[in-house]
Amino acid sequence: MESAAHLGDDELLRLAKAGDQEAFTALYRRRQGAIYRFAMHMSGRAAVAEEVTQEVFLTLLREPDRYQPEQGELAPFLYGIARHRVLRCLEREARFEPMAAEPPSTGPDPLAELARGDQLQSLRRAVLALPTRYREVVVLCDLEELDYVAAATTLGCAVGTVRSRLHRARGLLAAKLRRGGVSRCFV
Amino acid sequence: MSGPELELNAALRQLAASAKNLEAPPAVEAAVLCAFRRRRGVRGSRWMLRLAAAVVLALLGGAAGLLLRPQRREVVTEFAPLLYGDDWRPLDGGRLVRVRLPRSALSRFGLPVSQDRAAEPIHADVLVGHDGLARAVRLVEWKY
Repeated sequence: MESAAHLGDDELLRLAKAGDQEAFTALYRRRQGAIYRFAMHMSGRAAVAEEVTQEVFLTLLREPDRYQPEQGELAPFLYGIARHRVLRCLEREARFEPMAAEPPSTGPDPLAELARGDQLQSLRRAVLALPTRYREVVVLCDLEELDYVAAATTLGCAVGTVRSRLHRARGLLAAKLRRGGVSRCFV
Repeated sequence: MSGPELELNAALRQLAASAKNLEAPPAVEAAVLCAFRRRRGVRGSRWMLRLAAAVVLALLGGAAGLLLRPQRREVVTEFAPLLYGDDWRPLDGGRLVRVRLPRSALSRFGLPVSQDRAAEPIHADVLVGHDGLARAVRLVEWKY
């Protein structure tokens, strides 16, 4: 694994396409965390994040030629697949109304465990409550720290659109946090 | 940037930092790598199958070619006696020699030759007596 770890994404993908498991494993380990976190921040659910992460890399396995290096780097390409999958999961789940008597989920929530502080929990809930188009720019640019160009490639929109959505998203977040009574802490 | 905006940015950075080490559980990696191995195996076995199919087809093709290929068979004419004037010495034995000669040479034995094909080679069996004289000749051809 040491030998593959220093190679770039494109080289690892090329080797993986030729059947090199070590290269594919290195690529997976390098990129899975970001994809998992993106899906987790977008959905707030570990099960969705796991499903999305798995699907992103299975898609890369099945259709490696969909990635065209001349159109951008691999990371935004993977985020793009993840975004598409997350949106599908969210749409799928939106079709089902939760049962009134359904008990709260007792499954593990990695983000909740990490963000134990009330303020972070409030911020996390506020991010999850944002409309999708604003949530995704906050997750990509503020939480995953992608630059605007990479975020625009991921979302398939102009850099200016990313900027304006991010500005609007931050305004919405601030308003939500103020209404939630945590303005004194954060905003 | 205003104070509230700075605070929001700081909070977002804090949230990002809190999730920085978050990773997919090992079960996801296991599933993905399993799919990779299966896919590589399928590709490998497909390649092997293609190779095996090609070998089988080549063998079948070769066998069919041998079976269906028309067999070449030798066709000979009757012996034509070669006369040397009025010398009719009886043939008391000899040997048969297969020779390759230009078709035009047949005229020396008194056999008809097409001028159009005079330069073509032809095979012939020549019966040579103990005295060294060619006593008879027959033409040889191969037909399918």
